[in-house]
Amino acid sequence: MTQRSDEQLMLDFANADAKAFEILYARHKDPVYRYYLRHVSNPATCQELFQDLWMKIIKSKDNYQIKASFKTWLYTLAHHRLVDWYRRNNLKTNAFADNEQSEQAFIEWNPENELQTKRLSKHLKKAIGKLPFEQREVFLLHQEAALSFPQIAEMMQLGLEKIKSRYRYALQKLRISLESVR
Amino acid sequence: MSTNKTIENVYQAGKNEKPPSSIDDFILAQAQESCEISSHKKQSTLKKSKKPRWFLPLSTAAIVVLSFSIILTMQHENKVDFSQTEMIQRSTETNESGFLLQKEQTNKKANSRADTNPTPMEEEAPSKPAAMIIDRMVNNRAEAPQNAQQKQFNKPLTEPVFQANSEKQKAEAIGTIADNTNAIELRRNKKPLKLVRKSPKKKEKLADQETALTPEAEATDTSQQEADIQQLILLIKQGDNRKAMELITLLKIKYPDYDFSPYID
Repeated sequence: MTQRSDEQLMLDFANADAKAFEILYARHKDPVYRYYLRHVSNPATCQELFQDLWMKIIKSKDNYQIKASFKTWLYTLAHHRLVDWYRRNNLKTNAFADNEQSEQAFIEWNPENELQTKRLSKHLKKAIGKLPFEQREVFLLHQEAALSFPQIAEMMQLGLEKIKSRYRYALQKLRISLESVR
Repeated sequence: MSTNKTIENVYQAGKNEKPPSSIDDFILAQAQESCEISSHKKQSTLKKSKKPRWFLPLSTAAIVVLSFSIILTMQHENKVDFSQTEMIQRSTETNESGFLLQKEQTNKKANSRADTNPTPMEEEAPSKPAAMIIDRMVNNRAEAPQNAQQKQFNKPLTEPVFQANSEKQKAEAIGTIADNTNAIELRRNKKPLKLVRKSPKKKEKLADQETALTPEAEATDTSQQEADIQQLILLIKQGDNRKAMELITLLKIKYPDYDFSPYID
């Protein structure tokens, strides 16, 4: 039996198929949760945003139309919800304004060394939290949602090159932060 | 470039966070509930859609058209008139008492103006059907005097012509009515009473009939008789016996009951 696409599952859910939603939720719940967790760092706030997002999806199932991929639509809603939260809490989306580039670009990382991996991962997550909002957004959409750069550009209604540069800057900053750990 | 890959790999290796199961249960329960609500809605819409779409507008239009037609019909009937139905009722009443009414009117006319012809309305009233009478009445509505006459004509005969206490009185009354009607008919025909030279028997019969039928004719006969006798006396006084005898023979035929013997002596 072939797997139903996200779009088909959403249409089935709109036709009162609760099972379709379960499959859809199982596919996307973890990346979406991590997307919020990386942005807000606070698990309670993350859970609140995560729940609000899925409730919105449930309510808007009758109005769903296949204009873009389900994943793009899902993360667009997630992005809007996050921006709203930022605005309500009077937080600036650009936490880091400096575009300082590091010349050091070498990390000796052995994947089989679990202890080292855990340690690096912990520092990386902290470093992601310190990234500017736009760079963190592009990095998470690319790494968590597995969206391509054109998809991210379409979603954020920005140019492709701008998205690519933001991603490039994000990696540079993460590298610098990891250099300090090493 | 390899550094970037290293960073991505480190991130992918470290992403193991998951939402709590309580949130999962809550969201799935909400999804289930929304599905149930939407299925209920669909069922209700299916039940509603069993009736054809055109049912409601068509029935509404039919009600509107029917009500308008009823109102128009009622208005038209009001124009044709309430009075018409009243006239129908009156005409039926007059038809019931038709014969007596006719007699009453003919008696009145005979007493008031014997020579004038009756109006067509008066003549036809008892015999014509009610609808024709109503039509004529509606046409002549503008004429006020005639309308008044119609009212008099249409007025049901409530007062009795006479009060008969016994059989004898009834018979007398019927006799007088019959005599009156005969007299009126004779006057209408405008034929004066004439003595025609016919055979004596026929003359006698005719005289009997005339005298029997008409009291007025009888009165005229007595005056004629007196005139004839005066003429006879004048002839006797003049001494013209031959002419007197001829007149006596004629008068004997004319008035067989009269005693002419004193004049012959």
